[in-house]
Amino acid sequence: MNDEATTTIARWQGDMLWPVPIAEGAVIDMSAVEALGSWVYAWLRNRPRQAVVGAAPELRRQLQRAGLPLLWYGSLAEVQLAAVGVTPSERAMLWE
Amino acid sequence: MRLLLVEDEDAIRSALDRALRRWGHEVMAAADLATAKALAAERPPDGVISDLKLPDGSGLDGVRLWGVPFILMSGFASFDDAVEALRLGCVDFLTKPVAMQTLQASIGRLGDRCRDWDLCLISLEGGGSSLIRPVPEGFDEQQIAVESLEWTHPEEAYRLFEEIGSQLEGKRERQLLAELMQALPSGRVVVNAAAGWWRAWLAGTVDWQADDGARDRRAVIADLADRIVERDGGMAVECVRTRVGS
Repeated sequence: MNDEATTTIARWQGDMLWPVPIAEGAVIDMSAVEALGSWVYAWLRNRPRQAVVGAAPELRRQLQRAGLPLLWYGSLAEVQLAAVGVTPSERAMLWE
Repeated sequence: MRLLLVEDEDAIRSALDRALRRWGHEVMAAADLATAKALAAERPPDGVISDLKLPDGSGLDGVRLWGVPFILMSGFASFDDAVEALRLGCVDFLTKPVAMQTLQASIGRLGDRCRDWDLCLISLEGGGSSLIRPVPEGFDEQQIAVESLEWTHPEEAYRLFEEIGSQLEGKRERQLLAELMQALPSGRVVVNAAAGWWRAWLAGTVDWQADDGARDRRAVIADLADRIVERDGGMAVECVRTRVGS
């Protein structure tokens, strides 16, 4: 993931209980996700430190319980503020 | 029915013991959780009537352990306790002092639940495609909707899921069905949507240790369901239809 991608926002939406093509982005906006099946866990697990915003509390609990290595942000503005300091790619390097 | 009665107050336990026997039940009475566990290990009960607060733990701990229909009683019930009891499939949550008439009505419901569950297992072990055979006496068939879904390809499973999924009321039920149907590339799920209850039978053995995906799915199913029974040839999953937070 390069730093240019920090502006890329993937907006997931609807009932994602069955496998569908997944939109990729530096930030995943889950505010319009109704439900998320476990099929997506492997995809998220392969993207450590993936930034996520907008998940409903119930959805966030589900994903946290699964132990997925996600970075949770309250809003897109928060992600952008965080990006000013340390970019996602830099952050990933720190954890390698 | 064989009932396990767990109550630490001697006077209440004796009174309930007598009443239950008078109503024709076999009773195993215990004053604490440890004794109750020993009795249940010796002879598994059909149902449990337990005080919530016991000298050596919570009645909910026993309920989790035994996994049979149960009634909880408490003089100090909190909202959280009631929610947890509901989540675990509590038939009734009674506040003490409990009127005998109320308890008798609750035990009637407990009996319905026990019969329902036995019926489910008997039918499944027989390899039948329906959970409502044989139909018990007094059973109102109109209240039960049974759907048997069989597929040989994931695409077919998805089509079937879309058909029946729209009939399910809650997000939780919908997700549970989706997870079950994706657990096997081909297989059969029987869904029994009774009033207030939802139950499915996943025919076919799933190797949950096979990969992370399967383990993830197992964890989600376990989280969504109130009760899972795994046996040779498949898995039965049961949940209450309405759950706080669902």
